Amino acid sequence: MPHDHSDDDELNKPWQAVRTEAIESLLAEIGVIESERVDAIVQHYEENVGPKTGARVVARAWSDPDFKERLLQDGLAACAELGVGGPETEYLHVVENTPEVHNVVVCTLCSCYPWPVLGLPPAWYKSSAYRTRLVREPRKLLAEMGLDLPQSVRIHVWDSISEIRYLVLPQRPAGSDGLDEAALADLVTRDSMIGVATLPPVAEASA
Amino acid sequence: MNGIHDMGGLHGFGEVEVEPNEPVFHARWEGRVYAMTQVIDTTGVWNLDEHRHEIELMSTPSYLLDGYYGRWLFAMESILTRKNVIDRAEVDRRVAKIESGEAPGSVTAAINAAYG
Amino acid sequence: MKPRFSVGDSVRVRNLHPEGHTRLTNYVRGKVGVVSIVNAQAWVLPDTRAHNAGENVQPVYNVAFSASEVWGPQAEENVTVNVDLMEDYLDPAERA
Repeated sequence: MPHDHSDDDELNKPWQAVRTEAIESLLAEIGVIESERVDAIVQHYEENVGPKTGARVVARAWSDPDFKERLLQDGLAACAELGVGGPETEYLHVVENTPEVHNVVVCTLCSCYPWPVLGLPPAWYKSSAYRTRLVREPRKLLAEMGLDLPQSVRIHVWDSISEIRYLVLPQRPAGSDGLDEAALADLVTRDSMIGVATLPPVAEASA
Repeated sequence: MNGIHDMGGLHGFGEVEVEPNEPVFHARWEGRVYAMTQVIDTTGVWNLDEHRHEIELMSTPSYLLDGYYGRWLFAMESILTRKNVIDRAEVDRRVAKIESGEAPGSVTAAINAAYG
Repeated sequence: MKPRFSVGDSVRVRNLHPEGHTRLTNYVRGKVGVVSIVNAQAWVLPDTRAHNAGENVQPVYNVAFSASEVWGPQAEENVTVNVDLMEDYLDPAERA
């Protein structure tokens, strides 16, 4: 609802809504766009595309070492095995977190993001604060965002400014050994696949 | 070009603010701009790099204040008018019509009617 | 595409400041890094396609820079910045 976003006034200037509507109606009249197709794309991104897709890919990689190897070799080809694909991702590099190396992704020049596996990026990913700071002071910024990495862990910041997109393969949480792929996918968060979070150990189910 | 878009390493932008349970689009127009851009991407009116460069041509204050989809809106209108697909004066006239509630089926008119 | 550089090669980013579009980000210009990934597919050069001046396809390299190379004494320790760069943005460099 438009009136639910009073704290986002900057992104909801009415003039932008009106101008968008004016342009859409003109483009529809001259046949450049069909509003039904626009509706369908909006709905697709609101309902179908999102980090659950990436979580499925990660859970498969944790469960199937051969798949993981293919995923690290050619991310998009491996994703296609799961029926995952989409626009503006020509190539996907999956980077694997280990106890020694932590990966985190940014795009300093615009806000490139692996849409087919994670959906559209959250506002903070597109913010000037994240884009300016992650490449310069990742350890400090990640700590501010709740991820305290030991000094011994090497941080790789991937600035994805070409047409190649990056997805972080988080470490499988401790205590998740007995879980099936669907249960594993439920553990995977968007932030862990961007690299601003890790996954907590799975608490033993209480009786 | 050396512009504000090339911001890796700059100081002074404060903390990263995380919004819990963020919607995919914060307002209807953001989704429309995103999806229209996807459609126009496939028509050959512009190419991806042209679109990115157009955003870089925004004034620095607008780049920082208009938001992500605001930049896309700017680029869309800017390229479409430069390439004579639409006419800026015509967009202005349509805006005036929508604001006055004259445009039939107008979303803004519907929202105004619903929320006063 | 036949890539000019291989994994492990030291490269210096060209110090270019074009007025038009580029994806050669400012903070690595002039810096030396090591090629970590060679993407030998035919990638369009954004600098020319943005101005409808040709595709100039070429490889894209992921270049790993130590944070200290990029940020000097203000760099955090144990950090690598990995940046994707077009072949035209790079020159060979002597290994440091």
